[in-house]
Amino acid sequence: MTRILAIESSCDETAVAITEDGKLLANVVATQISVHEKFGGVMPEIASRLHTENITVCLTQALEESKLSLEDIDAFAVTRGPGLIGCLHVGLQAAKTLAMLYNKPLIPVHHLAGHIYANEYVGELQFPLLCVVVSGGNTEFVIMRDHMDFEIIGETKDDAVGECYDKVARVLGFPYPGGLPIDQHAKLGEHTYPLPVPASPDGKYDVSYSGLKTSVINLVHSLEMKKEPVRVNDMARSFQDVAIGMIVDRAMEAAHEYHVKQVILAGGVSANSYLRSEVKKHLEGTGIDLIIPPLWCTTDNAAMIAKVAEKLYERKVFAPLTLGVDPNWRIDHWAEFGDSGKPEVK
Amino acid sequence: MNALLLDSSDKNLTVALSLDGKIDEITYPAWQRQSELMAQEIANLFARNSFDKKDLDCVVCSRGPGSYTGVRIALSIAKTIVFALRIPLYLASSLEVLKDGDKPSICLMNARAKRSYVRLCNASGFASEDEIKTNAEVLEFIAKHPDFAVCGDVSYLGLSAPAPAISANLLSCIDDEHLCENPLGARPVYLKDDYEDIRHKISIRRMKMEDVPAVVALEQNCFKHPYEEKDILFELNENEFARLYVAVRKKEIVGMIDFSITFNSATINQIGVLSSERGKGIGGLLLEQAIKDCEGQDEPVEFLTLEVRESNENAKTFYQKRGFEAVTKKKGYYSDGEDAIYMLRSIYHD
Repeated sequence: MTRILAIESSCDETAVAITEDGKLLANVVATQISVHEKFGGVMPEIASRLHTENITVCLTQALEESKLSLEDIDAFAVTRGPGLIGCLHVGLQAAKTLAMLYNKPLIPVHHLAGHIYANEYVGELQFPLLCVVVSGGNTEFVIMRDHMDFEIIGETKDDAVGECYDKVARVLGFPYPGGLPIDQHAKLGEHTYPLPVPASPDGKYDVSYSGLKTSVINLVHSLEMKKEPVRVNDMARSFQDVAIGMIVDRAMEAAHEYHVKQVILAGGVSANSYLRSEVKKHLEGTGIDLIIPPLWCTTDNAAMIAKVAEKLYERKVFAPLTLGVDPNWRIDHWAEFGDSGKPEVK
Repeated sequence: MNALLLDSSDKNLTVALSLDGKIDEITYPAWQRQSELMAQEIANLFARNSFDKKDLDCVVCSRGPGSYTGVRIALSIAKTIVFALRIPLYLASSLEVLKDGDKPSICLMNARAKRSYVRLCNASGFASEDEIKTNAEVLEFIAKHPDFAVCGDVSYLGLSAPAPAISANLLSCIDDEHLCENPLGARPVYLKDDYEDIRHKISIRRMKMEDVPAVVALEQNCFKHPYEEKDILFELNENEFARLYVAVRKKEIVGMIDFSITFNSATINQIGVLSSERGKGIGGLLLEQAIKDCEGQDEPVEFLTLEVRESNENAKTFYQKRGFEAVTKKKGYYSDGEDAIYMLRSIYHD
């Protein structure tokens, strides 16, 4: 029997989960959204402060939920990147301290691998598969030919799609985070505003969102100058059609080119109802399976970190206590973390 | 009594184990490496003393002020240990642990921006609390009080001081006063709450006579062609159409606006924000005040106008973002011959 305690603190959620042979025994998430709402985005220093306050509270709650004690845990896992550096440090200290005290393996987990493996809570992965990773910090198309085998075939060259949603939401006067309000308003509107569809900036599966964001902002301002009202529902719809359309087009092309058996969605933007329905519609009748993560897995949590940690535990991918964080860790480098800690220990 | 002592609030990393008062300490400079090294050093310390965690009675940790990330590293570790082992946590000021035994001490740490974190210890007649002072104030205090030991890494002040006995000082903090009542929710002391300052603590109020010297200084900071004191006094006391407001944070004037309301239109004469305070929305708050005043007039004010130097791109962008449109160019408007762009915005703007 293998029991894993996993910690996630890469952005604005402090989370702790405990699994036993893949079964989720505890899943605690302390969200900070209400705090960051005031600022229209995540403020890294404030997020780091809240993680420090919350971390042991979450640990306590997770142990209570699981009815286990720390002595029962076989390995301690933690998100070491990518994410906000100050935030990552806090979870890392807690995980390293526990691994040190109980002399158990420390497992470093890639945050996006977590979002991808969250899908194992609802279905079985079938390889080769295409994973569409869409969140506030990332937009990536990843091909997996086996477990823990990630090839990035395309990615954003500037803003992440979720970031673009948040900024457009701000211009349209919607609250943070911007994904849900834009999705809701888009359902009430028509695609009447002409927004250019950005071309692939580099490789054919790459995307760019900064141009789309600027187009919306400029359009809104020029309407204001002309004293024409901005029809927010139509603007939300026009923007969403383009922003999501770019992802769906590339995903479908890649799914066929790489002859995948399955497409999976991952990350915060996979909660978007339009993305979900478009991907479903396009895959109908193709024989390609689709897994859409449950809503609770589209936001950050530690259950998904524990899922990846199980795979790493089997492979004995363990880190020394000198492990550091890596805010820009690439998913295809998930087994490389040794160089971060070559300390001059005296 | 066996205690684990932790500090990473400044450039050093210190971990120590006190076994019935006998201290084994690991301490060395580890700026920005504390996150990687601290847990490993605790393991090393336990190993070389053949120490079993079950025999640990408490943890003593510095709680700030200091490097934000540094303070969080030791505290996150300390919180996790006391949570796991169910033992008490003692928190000490990271300045207090720099003191020189029982001597009157001025304990210092670099707070950046020409400021210091300061605490006076063992000094009767002085408050013993963590504060932020300017480096000039600190140096003045040191000059006036030669009887005080200067403590901490004070190289940033051009001074030197012996290495502090951090572990011994942490150990001396095991008492009721330093006991943390709620270790699960424990949080660092930061002293600087920049975000709060920027977002919430700016207030806009009418300018008063006593603000004149500060506004003159602000003018000189903001403009190539500042108002002189007599211009400000004229606007404040004699120009019956002019309204002057200042933006204030913690009693410091960080911005001002001077505008006039004449019948159905209003004109912004000047709007300025300290160069170090720009990009924080203060100019926007001042402009909102002008618009609020216009809306509150008995006789409706329909539009707001202003002139801006043609070369002042930042100002033009600022006004455009806030609904102003360039209407025309006024040739040779300024005394040095530069053209002005005349901009206009309707008060009822949505």
